[in-house]
Amino acid sequence: MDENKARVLVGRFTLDGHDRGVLTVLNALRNAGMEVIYIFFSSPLEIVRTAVQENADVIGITMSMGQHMLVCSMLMEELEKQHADIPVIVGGVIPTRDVPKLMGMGIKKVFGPGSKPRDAVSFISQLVRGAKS
Amino acid sequence: MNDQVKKLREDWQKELKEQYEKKLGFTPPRCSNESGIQVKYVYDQLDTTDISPEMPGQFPYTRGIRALGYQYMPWMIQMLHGYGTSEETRRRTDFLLKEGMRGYGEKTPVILIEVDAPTTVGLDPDDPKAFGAVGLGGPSISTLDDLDNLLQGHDLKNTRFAPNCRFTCLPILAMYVVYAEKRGYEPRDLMGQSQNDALTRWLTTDIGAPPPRTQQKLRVELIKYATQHIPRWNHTNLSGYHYGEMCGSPAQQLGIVMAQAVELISDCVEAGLSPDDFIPRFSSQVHMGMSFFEEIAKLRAWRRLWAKTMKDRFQCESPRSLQYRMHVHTGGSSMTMEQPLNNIARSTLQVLASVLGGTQSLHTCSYDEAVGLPSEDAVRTAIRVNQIMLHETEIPAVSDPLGGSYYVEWLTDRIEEEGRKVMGQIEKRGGFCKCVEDGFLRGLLNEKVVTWREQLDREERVVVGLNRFTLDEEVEVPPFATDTKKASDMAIERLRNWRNSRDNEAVKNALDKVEQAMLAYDSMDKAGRLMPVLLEAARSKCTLGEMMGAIYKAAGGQVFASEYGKL
Repeated sequence: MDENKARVLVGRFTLDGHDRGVLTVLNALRNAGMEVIYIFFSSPLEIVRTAVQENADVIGITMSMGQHMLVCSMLMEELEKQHADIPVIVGGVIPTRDVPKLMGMGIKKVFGPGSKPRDAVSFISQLVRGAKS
Repeated sequence: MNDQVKKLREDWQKELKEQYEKKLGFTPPRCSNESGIQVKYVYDQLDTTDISPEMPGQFPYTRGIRALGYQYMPWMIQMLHGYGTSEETRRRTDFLLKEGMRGYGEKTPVILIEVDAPTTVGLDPDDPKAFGAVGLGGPSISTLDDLDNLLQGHDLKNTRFAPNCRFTCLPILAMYVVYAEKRGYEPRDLMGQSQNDALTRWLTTDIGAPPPRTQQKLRVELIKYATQHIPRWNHTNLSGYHYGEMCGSPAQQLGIVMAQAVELISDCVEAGLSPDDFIPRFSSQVHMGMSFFEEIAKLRAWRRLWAKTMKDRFQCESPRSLQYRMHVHTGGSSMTMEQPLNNIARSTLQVLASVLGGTQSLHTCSYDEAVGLPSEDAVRTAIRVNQIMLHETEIPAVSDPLGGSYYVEWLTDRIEEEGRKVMGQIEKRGGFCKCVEDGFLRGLLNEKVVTWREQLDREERVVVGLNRFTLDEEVEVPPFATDTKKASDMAIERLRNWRNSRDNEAVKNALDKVEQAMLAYDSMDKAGRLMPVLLEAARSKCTLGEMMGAIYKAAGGQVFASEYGKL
């Protein structure tokens, strides 16, 4: 196994049905040679647990239902509880005004409407390269 | 005549060659539309020689299902809405009604409600799995009190009630019938619509649900009950919309929905219903994209393919079985967050295409929908687009105004043909449910989504403000926000009071009967035994989550659409 290969856990929160955007991201990540684990219909706890078990380098969360503030705060809390130092990025229908608040929670980057999947790919590559070097 | 046309065509081709190709060195680009149909630069009589003469209201209804169109009955302005609590949703309903949301005629309220995700799958607001999703994108409906908040004060005899409930359409209908009963109405008094198309939602959103054939049973049960007891109820709203939002082309939307309809109708026949009794109450939610003429042709082709299919396959004789009624929902995914006012132009074009295509009803997306639910200002503008078209443009004065257009007639034929191909492909593979189960449909859509994105990235597909004509500094419209914590707390509190006010023994017995009835429902010919026990359960004050829970218990656990497709 290529040790530099990024392992990305992509999670979709419980009951969020929007998956057109995330499909394009999954495709871009795989095309970039990353290992992708995709779980959906999952709670923040399940997402964090899976990320730890799977030894993920990055957690990517997709949210388009308006629940991002609540979910992200729970997720970050859970990561801290488990002493898991895994960077989190968020994509989906996120109003621009919520971005600073999410960054304040420790989210590394927010990809709102209009973002390009390739930007997420290069951001993740940088993150992982930084962490592994 | 034809010789003359041929001569003119040849002259035109000659000019193309000599003027453009030889002198200017210009070869015009070849253009394929969304459905993959290659279009020419211009059309003439020779392209439409095999079009049969037809007037509106005549088989196969390409030009419209009635002799008179908007001159007699303007399209319905139905706005799908809902957020927060049932009280907040009611306030939005009242606002929309005041601004001009209406059914046929001025005095028929339409209440087209979007519910929250837990309600769509049958989770009560206090269920741990519902946490964080209560009141998002719609109110929670779990008790008759919630329905009362939405409907009190409306005369149910002329109110079109249409809750968009995905998997829970059957128990919600039971609750509505019992609610109406308490207000002194008989089932036959009611009018409205069940979405009753959970499979489409499931296939395109991947929220867990029972497997396809189980869902099909719930749909057939609903159709049987509505047909026998609520004659004015539109029991099934076949959705092409979700395929459109998942990048399915107009021809694919048409073909998939037709394949689905044929299978569902066959199941209903197996359940003992006769086609002319229930087919007239099918309606549809049609997607509207940006490919203007293709979308107009799609609506025309849709009516024609429906009419021919119902006549040929099911030997329908009632004209009402052949007259396909449509509700168009403009494409939410064509809205961009960037330069949001551009979205009004997009919606206007989509409303225009819907009207030129002869829709019966429209939901128009608001300009701020790329960032969330619409604000009052944005949704009012969406209604105004309809009113401007109706009252300022004279467009509604003439039915099927593009009938006879060489291009539109040719394209209508081609979309019908391509739609038929998709339908045939699905049927050949064993039918709609089978193609859900073997992942064929999911794969088809996923591929389209990925291609769409790649085309955007390469700028082969232009979305103004998104990948071309962009701004350095974006101005964001204020996103509409609700206090979902409050909505969730209120829903849970209401549920607690509801549970405290009932006879728990009766609840348990009623739910046992639901489970037994679902267990005994092992083939379509047993349809008709589940709804009576659901009605009893609703009378015993069972909640939506409890009723759906009993059904799930008998039908098996949750599965996901993507388990049937490659993701």
